[in-house]
Amino acid sequence: MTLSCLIIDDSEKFLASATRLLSLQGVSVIGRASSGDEALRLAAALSPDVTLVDVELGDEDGIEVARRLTSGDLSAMVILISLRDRNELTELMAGSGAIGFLRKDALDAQAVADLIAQWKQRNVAPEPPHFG
Amino acid sequence: MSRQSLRISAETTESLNQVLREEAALRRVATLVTDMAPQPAVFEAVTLEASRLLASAQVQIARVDDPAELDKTIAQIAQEAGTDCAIGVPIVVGGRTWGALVAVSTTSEPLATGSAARLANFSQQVASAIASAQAREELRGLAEQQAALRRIATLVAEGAEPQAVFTAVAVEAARILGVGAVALLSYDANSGMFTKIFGTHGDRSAAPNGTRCLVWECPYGALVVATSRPARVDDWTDVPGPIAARYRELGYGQAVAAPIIIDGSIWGCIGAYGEADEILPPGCETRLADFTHLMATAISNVQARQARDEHRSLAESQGALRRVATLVAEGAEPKAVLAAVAVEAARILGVGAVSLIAYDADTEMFTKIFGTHGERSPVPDGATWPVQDCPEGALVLATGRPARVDDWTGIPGAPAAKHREAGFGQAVAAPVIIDGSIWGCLAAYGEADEILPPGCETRLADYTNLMATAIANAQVRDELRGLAKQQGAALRRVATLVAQQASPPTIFNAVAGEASRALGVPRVDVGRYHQDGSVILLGSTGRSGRPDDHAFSESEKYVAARVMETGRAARIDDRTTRPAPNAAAADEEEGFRSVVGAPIMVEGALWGVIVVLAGEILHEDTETRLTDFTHLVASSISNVQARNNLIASRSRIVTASDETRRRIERNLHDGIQARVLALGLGLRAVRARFPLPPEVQAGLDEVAHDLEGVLEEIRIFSQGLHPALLARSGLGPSLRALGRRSPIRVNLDVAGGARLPEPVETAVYYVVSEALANAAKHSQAAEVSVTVISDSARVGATVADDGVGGAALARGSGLIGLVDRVEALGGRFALESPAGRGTTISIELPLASQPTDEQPTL
Repeated sequence: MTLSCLIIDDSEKFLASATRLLSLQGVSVIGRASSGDEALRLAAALSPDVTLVDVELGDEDGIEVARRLTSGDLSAMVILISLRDRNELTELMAGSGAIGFLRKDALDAQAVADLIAQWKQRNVAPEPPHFG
Repeated sequence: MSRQSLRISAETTESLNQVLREEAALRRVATLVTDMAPQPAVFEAVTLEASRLLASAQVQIARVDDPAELDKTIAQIAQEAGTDCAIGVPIVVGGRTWGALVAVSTTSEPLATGSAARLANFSQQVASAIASAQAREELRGLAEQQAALRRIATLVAEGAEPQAVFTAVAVEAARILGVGAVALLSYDANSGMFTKIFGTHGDRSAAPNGTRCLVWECPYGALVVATSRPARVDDWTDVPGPIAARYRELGYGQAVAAPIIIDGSIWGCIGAYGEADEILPPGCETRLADFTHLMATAISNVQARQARDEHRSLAESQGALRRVATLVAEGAEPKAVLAAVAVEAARILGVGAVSLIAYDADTEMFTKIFGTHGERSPVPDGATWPVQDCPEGALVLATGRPARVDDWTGIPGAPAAKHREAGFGQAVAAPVIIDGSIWGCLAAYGEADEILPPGCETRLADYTNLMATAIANAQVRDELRGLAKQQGAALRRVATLVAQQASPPTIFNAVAGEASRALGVPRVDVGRYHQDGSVILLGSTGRSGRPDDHAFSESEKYVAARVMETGRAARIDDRTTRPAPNAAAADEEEGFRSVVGAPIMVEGALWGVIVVLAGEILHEDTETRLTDFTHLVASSISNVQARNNLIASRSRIVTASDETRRRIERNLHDGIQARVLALGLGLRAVRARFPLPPEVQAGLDEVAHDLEGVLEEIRIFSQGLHPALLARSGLGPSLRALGRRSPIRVNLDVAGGARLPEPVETAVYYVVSEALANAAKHSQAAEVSVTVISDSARVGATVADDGVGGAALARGSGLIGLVDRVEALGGRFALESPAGRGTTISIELPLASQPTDEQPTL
């Protein structure tokens, strides 16, 4: 099954490279945005499986965008991405609602899928028993 | 014998009888003369005897002024008698023809021969009588003069006042001349004017005592001055001027005058007046001249003594003033100066008891400042007593002039009773006037039986006039000293805070507090002008909890604007002059009725304003006192300003450098890092797109690996360059991130999650970052503790390792940069690194209002 993905980043260059790579690796990049508002609009419209959100979205706070994406009706799955190290961002990510973090230079379709799988494992409720 | 007896002829018998009768007559007259009978009696006897002797003749005595008129006079008498037969024999007195003895026949017959000879005998008698009378007259005149001179000399010797002597001279002259009106005039050659010294005729005088007039207004005086000789003015009808007119109105007639010559020049003159119909006898002016000649010496003595007295008095006064002024100049205690004033007064007046008394108009009480008579004084030094209990002071207050109380017997009140008990008598007092109002008085007391000479109060008044300035200066110095002490303490307190590098709010609040204390006003605000004319609040004695806690009220802004406009103190008292109704309302709520502002000048430029507010209308000297206060603290404010400037400039440097680093980091992130990233991703994309032979794959893997290495390097470099996430996440997360990166174990204790100002957080971060990096490089420590504590006023951070120590602030070491950064924020940096005992770096940074350094507005 092809993963549909939304990428939110303020760097055109990255959006291009990431899109190219992920697409080649079998992820369908269904939308790209550089601002929080645009991200929300696209997410609402396209309902991607996963949204990659840059922590430093230019002047905007990517964490806040992630939080908005993951709260409310959207309940999107968000992975935070950054050029910076995870350990710099650990405490920031709490409360963002993101399911994980990827360093941009480690961007890889498999890594994205792995994060999603790990999250599902942790968070999916056991099936309620069927009766009849 | 014949009857030839000696027959004396009848004629001879008759002749003999005649001679006998004549002898007898002459004898009778002579007796009268010798007995010094009054002249009229003598004259009457002569005319009677002579008339009887010369049969059928009537004899009279005629007085002749001019000898040349003798014949005419005789002829006139004959004519009046209706006969043309008259014999006149001159009466010669002292070689001059005084008059004539004239006989006229009562019948138509001529007078008998020999009549002339007989008349001549009688005329001799008359002459003797007259001469004798004249001599007696002269003697009496002389005796009178001597007596007069003695009386006057006695006055002079007793030291009578000059006016008393002059009065006596005029009175004696009047007595000697037998006239009722004598005036003594002094003459001033420089101004050409007479001064009326004294007139015996009191109110009936043409000019009151003390009047001055021009020479020509007094004709006899003018004559005397012109000729230096006695003069006479008989006819006043055509004399011009108001004085002459008054003279005529008053019913005076002839006047004689004589000069008073002292040391060869005309000192003045004495004039004597007769009534309108009175003839002043001839020679009157000569007698007057003799008198004044005698008096000249007495007057001269009086003058000399007066001059000597004045001179001595002046010298004494100047000596006293010099001594007192020296005390003032040397900064002696006011009490010492005031005591000296009283003591010198006692010396100059020659009394043993002088008191200096101050007056308080508000309470209407006297305060005894100092009394030279110590315990003998009715009121002790420093005590107060009401005006009505001090008669000499009360008089001075009431009249504003020197006063004298001679009789203390009837005066009520305890102080007066003590005055009598202590054995004091007469008192004189003079006002001490400073700045146009009565400060108090100086009083001198004589003993019970002592007479304080007349003029004593005048001398005391002259003395107090002289001393008023010294008293005023002593007071001013005292006030200044008190003020200086007070202000010195205030300045010291403020300066201490500045030296301790207390925060500006602390310093300015202290300035406000000191102003409040110094002026006795509850509320004081200190503000700074900005270039746009607005004023910001820097310090205050307190707010009443208004919502806008950092701004001046409308009234204060108005006053501040006025101060800025004029560069001088300004005030508003009356609500109606306030700029806006709501402003008045706001201040009304707080109960302020009076707002006064004074400029704070720093280095010659208008820097700010200090404003005081009070519930009642502030005294009019508030502006001055407030301005004085700001001068005092201006230098402290200047120091604070300078320190702030320095800090702010260092802070700017640090900020600028941080800004540069941020930009570089940003550029790295957006530029190189993005491109290297793109290369890496592109490489991965190539690998994803194409199946590649293993060796190509391996080659690409190597490049990918290298690219990751490059990215990592740049990442690490970036992290050291700028804590990009610090602004977003705060110290806690950022320091924890540092801790995670550190190769040495880090024990982190960051208190609280409250954010701090960005420069402060940045500083703390860099300090910790650098300290950790140093520890990693040099310390060989096993563990590092990082502690950050903050409260509302400051934040402190400590990085302590247990390594080898020996770190130093060497040039080139990263630590130096930290010191600059910390101090640029007004903070403190400390390094302890004893060898073998680890390294501890600690900093403290202030949090409340970071320094600003805006330039003064004008």
